[in-house]
Amino acid sequence: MTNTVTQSTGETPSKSVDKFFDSIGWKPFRFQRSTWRAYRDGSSGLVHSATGTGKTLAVWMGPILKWLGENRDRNKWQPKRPPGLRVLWITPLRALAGDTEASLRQPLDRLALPWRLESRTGDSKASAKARQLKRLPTALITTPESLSLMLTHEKLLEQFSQLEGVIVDEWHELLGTKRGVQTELALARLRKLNPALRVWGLSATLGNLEQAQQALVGSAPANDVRIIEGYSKKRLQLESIIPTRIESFPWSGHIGTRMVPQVAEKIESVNSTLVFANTRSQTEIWYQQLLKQRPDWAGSIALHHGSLDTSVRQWVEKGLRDGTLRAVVCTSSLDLGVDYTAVDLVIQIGSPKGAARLLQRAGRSGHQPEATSQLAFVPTNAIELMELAAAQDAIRAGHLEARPLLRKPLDVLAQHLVTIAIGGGFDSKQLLQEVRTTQAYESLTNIEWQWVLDFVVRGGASLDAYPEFKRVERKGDFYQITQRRVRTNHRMNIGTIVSDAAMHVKYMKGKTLGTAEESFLSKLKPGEKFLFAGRLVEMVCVRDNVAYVKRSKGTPDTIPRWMGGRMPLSSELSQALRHKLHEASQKKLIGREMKALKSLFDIQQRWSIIPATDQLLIEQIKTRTGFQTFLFPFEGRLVHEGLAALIAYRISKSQKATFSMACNDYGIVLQSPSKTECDPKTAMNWFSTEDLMADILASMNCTEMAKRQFRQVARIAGLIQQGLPGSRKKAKQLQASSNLFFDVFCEYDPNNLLLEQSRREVLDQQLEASRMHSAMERINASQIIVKEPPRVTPLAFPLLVDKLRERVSSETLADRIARMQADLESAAAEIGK
Amino acid sequence: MSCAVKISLLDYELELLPEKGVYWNQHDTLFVADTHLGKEATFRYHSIPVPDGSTAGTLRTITQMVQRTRVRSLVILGDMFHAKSSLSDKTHEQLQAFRQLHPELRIKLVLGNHDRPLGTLPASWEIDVIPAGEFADGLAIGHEPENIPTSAALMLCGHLHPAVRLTSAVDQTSRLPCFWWHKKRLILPAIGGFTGCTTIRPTYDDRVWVVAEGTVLAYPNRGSRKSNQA
Repeated sequence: MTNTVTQSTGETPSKSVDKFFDSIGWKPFRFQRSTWRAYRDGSSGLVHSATGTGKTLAVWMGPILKWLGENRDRNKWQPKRPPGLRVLWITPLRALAGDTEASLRQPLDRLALPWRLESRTGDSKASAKARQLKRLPTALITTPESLSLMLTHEKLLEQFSQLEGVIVDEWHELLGTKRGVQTELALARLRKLNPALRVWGLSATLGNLEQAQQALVGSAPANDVRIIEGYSKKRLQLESIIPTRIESFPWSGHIGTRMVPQVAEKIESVNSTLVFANTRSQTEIWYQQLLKQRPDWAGSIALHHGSLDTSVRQWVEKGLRDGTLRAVVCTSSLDLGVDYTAVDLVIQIGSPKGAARLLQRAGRSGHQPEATSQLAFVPTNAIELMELAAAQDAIRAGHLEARPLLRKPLDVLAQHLVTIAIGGGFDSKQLLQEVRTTQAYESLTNIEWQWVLDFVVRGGASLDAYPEFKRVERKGDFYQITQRRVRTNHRMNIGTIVSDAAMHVKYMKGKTLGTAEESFLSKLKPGEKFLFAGRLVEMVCVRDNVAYVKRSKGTPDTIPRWMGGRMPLSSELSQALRHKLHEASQKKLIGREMKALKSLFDIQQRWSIIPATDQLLIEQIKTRTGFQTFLFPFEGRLVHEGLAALIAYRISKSQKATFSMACNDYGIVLQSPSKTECDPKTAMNWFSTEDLMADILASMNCTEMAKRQFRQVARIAGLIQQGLPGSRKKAKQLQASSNLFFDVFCEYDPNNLLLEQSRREVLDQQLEASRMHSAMERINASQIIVKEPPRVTPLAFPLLVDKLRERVSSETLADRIARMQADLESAAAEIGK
Repeated sequence: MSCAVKISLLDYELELLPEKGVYWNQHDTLFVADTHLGKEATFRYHSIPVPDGSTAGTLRTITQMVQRTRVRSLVILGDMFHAKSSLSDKTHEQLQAFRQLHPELRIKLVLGNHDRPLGTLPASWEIDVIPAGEFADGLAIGHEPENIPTSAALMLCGHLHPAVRLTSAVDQTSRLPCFWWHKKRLILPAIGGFTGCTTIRPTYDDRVWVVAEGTVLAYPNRGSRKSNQA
């Protein structure tokens, strides 16, 4: 280090820190100073603000200042014998650990502190991990999964009890997820080991900061808890790139790559751009299209998403840091992470689906606290322009999304119990008390606790259903695991991230490009070409769970699809959107985006209506594939999925029928072979709140929703063993799909609480039952308008081209097959004519 | 019971049962494939909690078919047991009880890939392990669909756990286990209560019968001449 800030003997710590800030050309903000003070006084807390405003230094200097205060005599510092573990830094992505380490190291180096700073993640070397097990560094950067793994090592507990502070980075990213709950449980454990532990979180601004803070510090914090707002006066400039001719614009969900020239122009006008797309497949397409538009950009634009090989990603991140890349097309993989100060523009392709997310992404540009964030929005279909208009309204009104929390997921708890049972064992009464200090399990009942204990000890609550099963051994109230096989197995499967079976994609020569889902790769025939990692490759062969490819020329036959949920439109944005439509129905088009949609609104109005906030629009039309009933509640996709299943179920109760359904953020389509009778009065009954819960549960059983959710539950609770992609041979005799587990449990242990949990998760998270309920109340107070438009309207079109997914039927299979047979024959006759 | 389907393949008169077995009246024999008995015990042995019951369920289903058809012999087309650890005490008891329930029944087993590492089965179960190959009247049996004897006109086999999803422009069913007649083979669905399945893509010349809601239904063949096996 060339530039060491020397501290003369006896200099006050704050002076040293001021000097450090001088040396990097900054001045400490007020919120940074208050965070340091709060840390010194033993408080815990949450620091929130937009990205790039010095949050990292705000929390990181706390422990440094405290240590400087305790060790004023520089002559006594011993760089060869660094202090033992003091600070744990938890980052949500292991890919971020390297960058985080670099930015935390800067002040340590400048102040010449004798601290040791290291990372420990799934990517760390085995030798480093083994060394750390003997003695942890002064400050350790880790992930929630690696932290849980460390808790399985009994000998680390002594060092953890010396821990002074834990800092959780990007807490908003973990909050409301099972990884967040896993973190809460680990924090409870650390607090148990040291009741005076300080816990600090860094978060983007959210709608429920209080809850975010409580989840972090637990229900019984030993010390003061603060919420500190970071530098908030960041300026933001949002604009939409509006297509010149809106009529020719596709209404569907088609990826609007026809906007490529305008996007290229935008990129040209600045130094460095992040282009966010909503899916990995879209990034591949946009990257290719941009290169096609500007072949001279080869080498100066890049691609970044979660399925690319680490080395590729690291190269891109380095290019962003150094400012050598003109543009990077990325997914949410670059939502997080350290500041890329060079980025001066963010382009968002497709709807961000939430106001907070839009704000967060915009914050990736103009990273200096004083700079302005710039975001350009590129709609992929016309209606998305309306979403941006709505998002701007929501941001202006300060209606940012809350992160709803999870209630006591038993799968995560079961995994935690095994973790603790390996890491020295536990007394059940004491651990229950500890677990209940977390926000997630505050209301855990004794019965639920006993069930989870039974589950990890003998497989389930019923005594005779699980002979020979033994995982956790029990002696009185003490539970422990001694079997080596169980220990190793658990360590390999810790975590709550569920991914599809993935395969490495490699060149024949050996370079790894990344991973793609087995289900996609296994369907490819040799010679088939696909876009991957920004190049066109062709399949050569699949061997030993690796897909070998080579460079190819021509046009792709296909594009990999990675699973992964599409984000639903947030509740806040849905409301803002309904308001925008209401304005449009009153012929008030406010803002560039809404004005651009005038022709589309005119068509909608001519063929049907534009619904006002107190109206529910239903459109019925016959198409080639059957009778379509469109409903437009504008409540977001998740609520619509629940409503669609419920309505289909309610109709099929009174008449024999089979429905195929599709949903998007605006509405629902129910497709049936024959016409569904619909007038405002019957339709009102579909939304009745009478017998609501029973009907929702019944409709859920008709579809495969609970079954799908069980996949995650089964994995976390340890039913499905998940090795790393290609890393080890899978135990063939232990393979069973979660669907199969689901069926076996339903049949032979129907009271298993994990089944119950999957259903609850579908209700709470997937269908957002509470949102559904309020949506139905709103609809009940609305006027229902049924239209039979002459053609598919602009609002309905995107739904029609969406893939039909769920089905509800009250017909027998024999009837359905007979009809399908008839359909096939008439189709064949049609061709024969 | 009318939910079974009588078919005639190359002059062989067979009955496809909704319990996923094939009944050959002429030779008084019932065929089933892929029972995977004791699979839940294997999972539990490896600390994965799977409830008991699927083995008992599978044996009950076989009993139903045996009692209804009053056959004298039962042929298991491989993968009778899931793994070595499947032969738990409980599995032993269940097999013993099954034997006692059908003292006269001749049980024959063609070894499947899962059975081969097991070693000798207890003599008291009276199971004849027979080689794959011709069974009677030019009808062959085996586990894997490969290695069909050249002399055989038709082979009954398992191993694949076939299933199909029926799709038309307006409707689609879930995956349904099926009997699949494909290139001189009749591949049986897996009968085991704790077994998964593989989606097949029938070709134009194949015939498929799905099992659902307690019936066997002929599946409208949609395969084109071009498409190949999955």
